[in-house]
Amino acid sequence: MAATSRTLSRMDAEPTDESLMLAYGRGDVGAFETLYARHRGGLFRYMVRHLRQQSLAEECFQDVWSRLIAARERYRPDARFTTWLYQIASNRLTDHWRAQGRHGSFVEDGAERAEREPDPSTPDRELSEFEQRRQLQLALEELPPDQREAVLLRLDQELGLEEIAQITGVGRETVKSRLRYAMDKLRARLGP
Amino acid sequence: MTQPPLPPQMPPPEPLDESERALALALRNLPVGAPPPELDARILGAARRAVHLSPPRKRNNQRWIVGIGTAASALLAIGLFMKSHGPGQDAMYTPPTESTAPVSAADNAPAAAAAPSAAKKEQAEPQAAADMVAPTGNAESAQSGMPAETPAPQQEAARARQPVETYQGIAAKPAPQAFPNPVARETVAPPPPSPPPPRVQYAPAPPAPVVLEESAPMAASAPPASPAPPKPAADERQEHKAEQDVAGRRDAAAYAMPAPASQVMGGAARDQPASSKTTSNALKSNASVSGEILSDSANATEASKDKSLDRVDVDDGRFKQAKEDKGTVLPPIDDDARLSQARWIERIRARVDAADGDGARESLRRFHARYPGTIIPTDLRPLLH
Repeated sequence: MAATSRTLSRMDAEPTDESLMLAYGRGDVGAFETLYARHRGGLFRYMVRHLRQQSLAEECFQDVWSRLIAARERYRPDARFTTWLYQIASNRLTDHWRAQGRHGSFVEDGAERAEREPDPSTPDRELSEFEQRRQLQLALEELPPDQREAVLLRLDQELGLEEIAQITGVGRETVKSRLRYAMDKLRARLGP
Repeated sequence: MTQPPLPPQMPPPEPLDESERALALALRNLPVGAPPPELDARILGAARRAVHLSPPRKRNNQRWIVGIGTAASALLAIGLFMKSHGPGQDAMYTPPTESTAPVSAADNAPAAAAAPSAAKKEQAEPQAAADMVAPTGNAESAQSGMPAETPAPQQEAARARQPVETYQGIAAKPAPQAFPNPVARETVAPPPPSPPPPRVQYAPAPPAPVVLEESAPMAASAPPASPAPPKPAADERQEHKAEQDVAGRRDAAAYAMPAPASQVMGGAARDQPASSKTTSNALKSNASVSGEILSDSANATEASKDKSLDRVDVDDGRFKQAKEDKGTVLPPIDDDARLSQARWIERIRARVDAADGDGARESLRRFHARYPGTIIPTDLRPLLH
């Protein structure tokens, strides 16, 4: 709700993402700077939580913005800018997974890491806030990439099912299913 | 900054429920580093470079437009040049070739004199066609009675009087095509002080006779000269006197009707048998003046029938007219060289008309010496011999 109100107030006072992108397409560098400042943090978190490696996340992060810059004159506000931006990011991640050839490695890595880590659900131990964040991160890493992508777009970016469906290129029901499976896993991992 | 068209309305994102919100809150609390400043600088620098690199593309488009414009301008310039110097411009000067063609035919006329009359018809038709084209200027000046072009009506009248069957017979008849009515030509384009180029001289050529010939009957219907009683041609003196009377009346009517009847009749009359040509020529020449003059001239011609039938003398009529024009004062022969070719020829004719045979010969000789390539009109050609 707070994010929504923030967005609405920003739309009233500031130019929208779409107008900034169009302005940049006409050569307004300042518009791009504003746009970058708005989305750099969220996109970088998205990349880091997907790739888990800072350097790899930075590389993909730069590639996403480079693709956006290259496509600035072709941009049409047919959808929200956020949808377009994260669609580019999703494509970049897909390219990365294909290049790595280890699409499900995150599940294995997450499982291996969870096995190495001490069981946080030990009743003897009171989980601190730090432990909860760590468990959440491990739970995210255990998720399949499709489910992780959907849950990150939903929880971190607060995007709707339709937008997630557009970004990931799947149907709305598929997104809904992925989100349901991912949320169940997270809840099971984090406990009651 | 103008607001762009908003993206199509999408359903508002479903709000997070309580469990989702708790997870989202926990997720945001996860420590995630921000992109380093170097990465930000690289991305922003790439964005600026991309913007700075895009203007050349626009410049290419402008160059393309400029190229098209330059090509179109060049094409237009070439087109205008072609139009002004191309064959279309030369076509404006084609009349000289048309007018000179009959001249060459006239030059070959002596050789073709023995040819059948069909060939003569072919030669006569162009002249008739040329005679049918005439500017109205001469007719206007003739109707207004302006004496500015005094020699012209006299000359035309003299030509009308001139026997058609003269020197070199019928073959000589196409000669007027060589210089078809120079007076009319000068009426259309006043003569420049220096001799103009030949093309311009011959270009507007043929016109005069038609309008004149059409206006001739009207002018002849109200001749200023009073009719004289016809005199019987008994002897040669009386005949000569009658001719003088006719000529005097003709001079009076010449200003109002300079069109020669011979030209009115065209080539058809020239193709008549020789036995009837003398009479018809007399009729033709006098038809242009008036009916009375016609009858006088016919009588006079009838009187001299015995002499003129078997005699070929191109200067006969001209020198007879010269007797009538004796009072005309002509400038010295040296002044003739200052005239243009057409006017010079007219001056020579005027000398002939003024009975200045020696002056006419000398002037023609000088003309021929100065313009050796120019074809001498048939009516003046005997002067060279």
